Amino acid sequence: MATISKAKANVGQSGRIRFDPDPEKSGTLPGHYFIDPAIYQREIEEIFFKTWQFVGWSHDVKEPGSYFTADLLDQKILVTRGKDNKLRAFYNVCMHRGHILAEGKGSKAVFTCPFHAWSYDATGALKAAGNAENVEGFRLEDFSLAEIQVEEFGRMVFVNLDPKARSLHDQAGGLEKEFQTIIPRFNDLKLVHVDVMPIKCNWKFVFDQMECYHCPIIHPQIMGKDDSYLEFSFDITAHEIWSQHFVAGNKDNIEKHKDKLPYEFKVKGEDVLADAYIWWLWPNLLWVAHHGKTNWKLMHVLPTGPETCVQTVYYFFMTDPPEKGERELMDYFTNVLQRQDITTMEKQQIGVHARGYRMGRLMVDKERSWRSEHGTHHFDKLIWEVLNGPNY
Amino acid sequence: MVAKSAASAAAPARPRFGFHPDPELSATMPSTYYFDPAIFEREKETIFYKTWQFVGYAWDVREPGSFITADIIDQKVFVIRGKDGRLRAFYNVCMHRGHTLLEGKGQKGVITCPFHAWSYDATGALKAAGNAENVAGFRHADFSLTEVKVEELGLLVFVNLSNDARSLSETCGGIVDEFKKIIPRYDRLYNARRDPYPIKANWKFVLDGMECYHCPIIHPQIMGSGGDTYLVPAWDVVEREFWSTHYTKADPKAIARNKDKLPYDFDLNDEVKDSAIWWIWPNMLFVAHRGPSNLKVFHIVPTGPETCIQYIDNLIADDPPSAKNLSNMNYYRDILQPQDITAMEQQQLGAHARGYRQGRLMVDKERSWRSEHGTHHFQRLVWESLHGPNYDAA
Repeated sequence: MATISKAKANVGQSGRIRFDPDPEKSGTLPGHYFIDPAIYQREIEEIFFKTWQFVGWSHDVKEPGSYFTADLLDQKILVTRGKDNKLRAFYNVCMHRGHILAEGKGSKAVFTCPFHAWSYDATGALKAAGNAENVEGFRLEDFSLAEIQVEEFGRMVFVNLDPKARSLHDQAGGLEKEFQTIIPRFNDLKLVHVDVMPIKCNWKFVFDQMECYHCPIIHPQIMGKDDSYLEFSFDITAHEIWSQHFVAGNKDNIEKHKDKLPYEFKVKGEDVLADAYIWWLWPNLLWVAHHGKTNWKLMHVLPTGPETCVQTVYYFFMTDPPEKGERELMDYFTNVLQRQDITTMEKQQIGVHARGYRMGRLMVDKERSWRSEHGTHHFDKLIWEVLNGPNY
Repeated sequence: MVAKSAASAAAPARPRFGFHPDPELSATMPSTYYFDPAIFEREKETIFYKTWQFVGYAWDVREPGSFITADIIDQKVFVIRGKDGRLRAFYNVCMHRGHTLLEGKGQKGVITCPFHAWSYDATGALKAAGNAENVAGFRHADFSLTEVKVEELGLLVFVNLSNDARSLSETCGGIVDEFKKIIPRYDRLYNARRDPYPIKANWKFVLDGMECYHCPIIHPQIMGSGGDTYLVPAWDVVEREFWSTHYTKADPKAIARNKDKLPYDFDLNDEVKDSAIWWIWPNMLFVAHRGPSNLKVFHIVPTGPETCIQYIDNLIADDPPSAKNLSNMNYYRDILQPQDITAMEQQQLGAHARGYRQGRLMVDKERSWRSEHGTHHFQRLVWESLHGPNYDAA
């Protein structure tokens, strides 16, 4: 368990490489970063409890009094809109004995704890506590719910457990604008389906996949053949804590080989996307907009242990229930593309235990070609700096 | 979990004794050794990653390019025969991003990672990495696969993850001569069936079974019950540094007398006359049981501090298996194994008792058939792997 780093004495020839702030010189993250329970604990503290974390949807908290609850790893969260129309978030626990306060989602004027009936309003103020009048020196205002930073961002609700965290809009406002400008009728899309996918790998392997070096090998149907529907492309525009990855459609092939497309779609006409976009937001969110009729999906990854995680995929389309091509797209994404990726992630998880492997090389080229792994380095570098500071 | 040693203050009063290098004076291993997760972690480091571990059969890696894959607990390895005829073993992971390279067994000229298609040859050299020409300072030579030691021992292939390990044939080569002496058609053996037994017991309890003190009680059909059993009480142990032979002689008169009561189909004319059990440190047992040429290969793999899986490969020389072969194999599967496994799993439950710390190994001076010195041999090597020659460590 804690013996892992020591156990790597028997490393292979790659022993001289190391993680480097320059992507062109860098190794991958060391193998034990994907196994070691001590590193996992530090990631929870330093990453998940200090970054902006997706917890739910704006459409669930539109009206005053509406609320939803969420789990951020072992932390219970309550988000509710007050009579003053302000959205607030709190730890979802009663300040008396720590009982969970609210469940699921809905609408409440008063949050009453099911244990001893302490009651709070949507500003977190304790309004009533039975027998308080007989308890010496008891002041209701000493027991307000503990408030957390919350922001609405592109139809989503984010919280940040770190009271000193910079605003998400300050850090990633451009990302919210891209959803609006790139995805036709973004605000009209409807959430039509949710897939929950448990994966037997460390959560970081999901984001290490942000490169297209593996595409022709793991996803042979998408690029590299005469009739492929994608160009060899993976253009990354990186910002401080987010990035856009652009994958160009091969318009000729999409027209010419309609019968070979993995799902039914058109790239001409109104409200369609001719190319595909992937966005990443540090640390644990990806969004994908696929070719065809306007669509958007969120992939939310949460660790469940040092060597396991769960990915939840939220599908948005114009119509609910979805049309034939949209059903095919969901099936293709979950059962073909995701399965291809998850198989490799789970094999890496098994592989990094090997005492003959310490770390590999990130294959980053000067021109940042479609197969360069600089997207992976961006993510890995932020991980490295959280755990080790600027010490390489 | 680990709190037991402290808790054992409540153990019943008894003369002070402990594990001892002299089998005649020694207690058993302390019971915490069978469930403490910290000890299990140390066993991985000091035993499984440092000893010769069985990974497969030589017949699967005879041709150039043929390979087998195996797991040593969580360590993936593969063994491949090069064009030069040399057998090599490597960690089965790509040196780029740690993806598993090969699956199962088969034949490959080039080993290509399924993730980004890095390709290696059978000497472990990286031959191709896509886009390498555009990556600054990239040298293929820096990313050869990590080699590990491999040796063939007769029909078996072993690897050792420690670079300092002594040669297996040097320490255990004699076992192959014994196999050949006892099993007339040794060279024609093949694996007719693999029987897996998941066991709810620490892996050491399986090896602790190397004594015959329990035989008349746990296996009443084989010896001791009033003259109608087929074995004379016998259990001759010959110990070497890292392996041993345990020989039980048949009783021809008893076999003739009890023809109808034999637990499986064999007779006095069969190729294997008596029964031999061999052990190779730490986790391999072999049995040649009276009957047609046969060798049962027992491979015991821990799956946690309190669980293990025992694989029994039934190597026989008749293809297809004869009725006698099957009777021999099934007797093991259906009678002997359940008898032993029940006892091991009960020990596992019992070891947790806060009123039990350790027992006494029942070793006698004359090393009789029921003396537990075989168990001591195994436990002493476990002890020394964990503590060196310090016997006050518990």
